[in-house]
Amino acid sequence: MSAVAERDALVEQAEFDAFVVARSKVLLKTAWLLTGDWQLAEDLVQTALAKTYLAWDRIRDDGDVEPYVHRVLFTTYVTWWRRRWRGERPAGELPENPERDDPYARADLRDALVEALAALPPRQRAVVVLRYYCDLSEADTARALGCGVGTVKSQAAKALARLRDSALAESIQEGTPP
Amino acid sequence: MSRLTEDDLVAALHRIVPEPGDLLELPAAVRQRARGMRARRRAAGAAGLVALAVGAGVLGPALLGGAPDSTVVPARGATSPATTTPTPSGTPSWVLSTPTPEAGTVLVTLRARPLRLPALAPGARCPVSAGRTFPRGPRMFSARFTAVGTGPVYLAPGPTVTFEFPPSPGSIGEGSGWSAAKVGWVVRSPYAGPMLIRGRRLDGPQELRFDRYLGEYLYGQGGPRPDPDMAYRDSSDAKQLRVYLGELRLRSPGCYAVQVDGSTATGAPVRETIVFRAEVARR
Repeated sequence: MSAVAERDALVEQAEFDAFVVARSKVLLKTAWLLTGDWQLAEDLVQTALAKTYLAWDRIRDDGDVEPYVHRVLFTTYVTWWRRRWRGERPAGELPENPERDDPYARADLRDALVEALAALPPRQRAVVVLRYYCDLSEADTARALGCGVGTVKSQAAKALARLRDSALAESIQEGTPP
Repeated sequence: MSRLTEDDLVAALHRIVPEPGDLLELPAAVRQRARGMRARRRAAGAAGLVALAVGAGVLGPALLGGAPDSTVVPARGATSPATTTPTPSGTPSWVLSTPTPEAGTVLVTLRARPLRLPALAPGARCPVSAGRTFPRGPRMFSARFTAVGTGPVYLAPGPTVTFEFPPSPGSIGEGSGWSAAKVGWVVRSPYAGPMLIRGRRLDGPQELRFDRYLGEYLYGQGGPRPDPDMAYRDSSDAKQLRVYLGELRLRSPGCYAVQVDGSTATGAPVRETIVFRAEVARR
């Protein structure tokens, strides 16, 4: 490898590392909402980032990194879901961080949310996470999921309707500070 | 009908998502995984070319009116499909069961050691191994966790492992008769060497099998493959704990034990027995 190519490779690696450091926590939280399990979330994020790394040259030049990672994250998630990872029951405990408010209410809310999200079909779940957690617009959500804006709207409406009928709605009402 | 609004949902999602632990090692881990993916893609491409060539060799004579040779001669060094040696593709680097000369020698040595586990009368009290609490850490559980064993290897979670039985429709064990329970094998320094894990039920005749962690083969090749043993290559000289994820495959609740065989850098044998209880999860 020539000196120039070696330098370019190092620069590329440094850029990628900086991106990973900057975005990995958000991606990990997003993956946790999708999977409900830390180990699977880490696997999902690592896989999505590894695929991104392989395409880094192309997407970096296009300035398309963030949407690309989201797209890979969600397509990988849907692929895994189709391959029946949903049969797994996480045996480890969910992390408990220092709580500033009522820890029991928050734990109840977390359980209710994980259960409610798990009951949604994968695409509806992805729409909920992208729209209401990642704060993506309907157009960006559609781009990430590879579907139309109309599909995002209808999937979001269906997901909200299902969540309103779940125990989550009650937990949110109970857990909302006055 | 509840009054759950979009704003409620946004607030709830941001309120409950836990904060991940330290991710300092993530970039290096991602690059390593990317290299593995690239290698698998190349291997798959090469295998496709070979398959194409073989297909042409078999179909060519048939299409031309000739009969293909029905005698199949295995290639030199090829393993029988009946063996438990996995293919390299989709296998993480720390899984020892790869068909390399070094791994082959180590595995033969470790598998030659006898499995010495006690037998218990049905209904006898299960003498589960003592547990200890470990801290959270990078590349590990995101909270304090309990694992059982005397070290250098510990089983998490313990002393009770729950699994779903019979395997529910849609689960990875569906149709196989083997339920899966995700576990972590925690390794404590200064031990750093190979580990062969085998086991069985102590209060009954049932087998205990092992598999890679689900996420490890989902992005690779192949599917669930309950094996009679599982080997890991732990050669890290790092001071911190390491966790290797895997799955226990079971067909009945009861009292089980695993025997971990290894060897230190100086060749001294290491053997540890971990006893745990397996219970069917309440649905």
